[in-house]
Amino acid sequence: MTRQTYTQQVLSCLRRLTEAERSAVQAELEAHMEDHMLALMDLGYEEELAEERMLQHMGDPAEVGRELDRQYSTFWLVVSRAATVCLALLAALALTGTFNTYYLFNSIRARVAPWSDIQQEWEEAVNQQLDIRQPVGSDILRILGSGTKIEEDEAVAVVVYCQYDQSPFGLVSDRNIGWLDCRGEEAIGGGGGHSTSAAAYSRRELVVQAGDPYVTAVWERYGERVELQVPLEWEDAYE
Amino acid sequence: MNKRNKCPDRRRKALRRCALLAAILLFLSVTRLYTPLPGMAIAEAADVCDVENPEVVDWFYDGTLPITRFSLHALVDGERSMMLTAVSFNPLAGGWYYRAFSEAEAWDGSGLYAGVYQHGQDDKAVGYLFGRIDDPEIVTVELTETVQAVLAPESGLHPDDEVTLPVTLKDVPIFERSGTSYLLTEIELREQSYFTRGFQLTGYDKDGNAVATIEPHWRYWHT
Repeated sequence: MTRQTYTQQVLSCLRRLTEAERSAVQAELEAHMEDHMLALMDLGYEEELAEERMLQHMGDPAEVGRELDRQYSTFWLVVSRAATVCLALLAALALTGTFNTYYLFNSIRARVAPWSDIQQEWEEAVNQQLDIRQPVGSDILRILGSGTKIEEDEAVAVVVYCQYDQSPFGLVSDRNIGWLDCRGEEAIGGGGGHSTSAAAYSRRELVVQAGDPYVTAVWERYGERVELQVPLEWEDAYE
Repeated sequence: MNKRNKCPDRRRKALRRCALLAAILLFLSVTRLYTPLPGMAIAEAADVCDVENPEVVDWFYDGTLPITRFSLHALVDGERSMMLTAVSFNPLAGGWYYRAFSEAEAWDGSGLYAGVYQHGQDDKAVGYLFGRIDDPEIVTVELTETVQAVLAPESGLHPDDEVTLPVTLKDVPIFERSGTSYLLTEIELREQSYFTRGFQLTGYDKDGNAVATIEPHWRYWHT
């Protein structure tokens, strides 16, 4: 028997292995046999005798093959291939834009550059930019600016603000903010806004009295009440 | 050949790939970039509703609406509030996501907390009464609805006036889970639900005496 014959007899017993695994086993077997032969030749053995002794030491090739085959469980092959399929699926989903990166992007933008997501007319309605932040429940209420204007003898306070979850991976709650004037009375008005699940932007126009120093944002939930004063500037009030 | 048992490559490779898959799924779940499990969509709905520490009390399926044919509904209890939500799965749209919800605050010590969930699509609609009963005296409940009198011409009221009408509960509404009494039942909706102005829920003791009356929060979704 030669080394090549021995190797082929071992490989013929490997029924559960994939082609890649068979090649790896063959390479390891041949390297192991060559190392053993070289060690014997270093001790003075002739090449043919070294090969004969080495093959005797290796043992029965069929038994070696069966023992190797037993170590390659079909169960782990199935698990490995299932995990590979799942990983490939995730990679495909990532490439098709399935992941909710939109929410994370909007959450980060509300924190870092909120004005970049606000239309120009809102920005023009503000005559003082602010950055007042207040935790409200699991969210942050961030007052971005306030403005004042006189319309047909009616004084109006404009407040631009956004809300986002305290966690950048969280969603903003849909709890509304109430508004009071500086006398503690409900401030009537309208407004608008836009939101994703990650951040909500609002603009409120509240009827107040000219010269009122502030309006108050009110957030209530579970009997807890949070108030936040928003200063108003009347020197540059629009008319 | 040395027949010692070394750790086979196949098992190592499988375990490495599973560990990588688990790590990626964990990252996606924590960052909510992808929600592979329905519980994650429920956590998102709870985030929006401010339901703290949400725990699912009951799951059920209601495929009445085409949009909820592949959805699951869940009754969720939290620290100071609870909710009923419908979650759906779309593998190409981020995994599981909430589709509709209604919440009910449960913190004021009144012993009876409830909400009404309504979801409509085209000419179909479903409605549920849900809640929690902390007062052990309450053994039955009755739900009524305030509507515009246009729905009750026999009342003789002006169509813009309001009238209170009973709401039919389709099942026995009260059940127990882990020692707590909960409310969950489908309700019969009126065809013109846009005339609804509110609901009232009354809890009765075993002698038929009214123990508590509340106005459940209600939310209507139209898809």
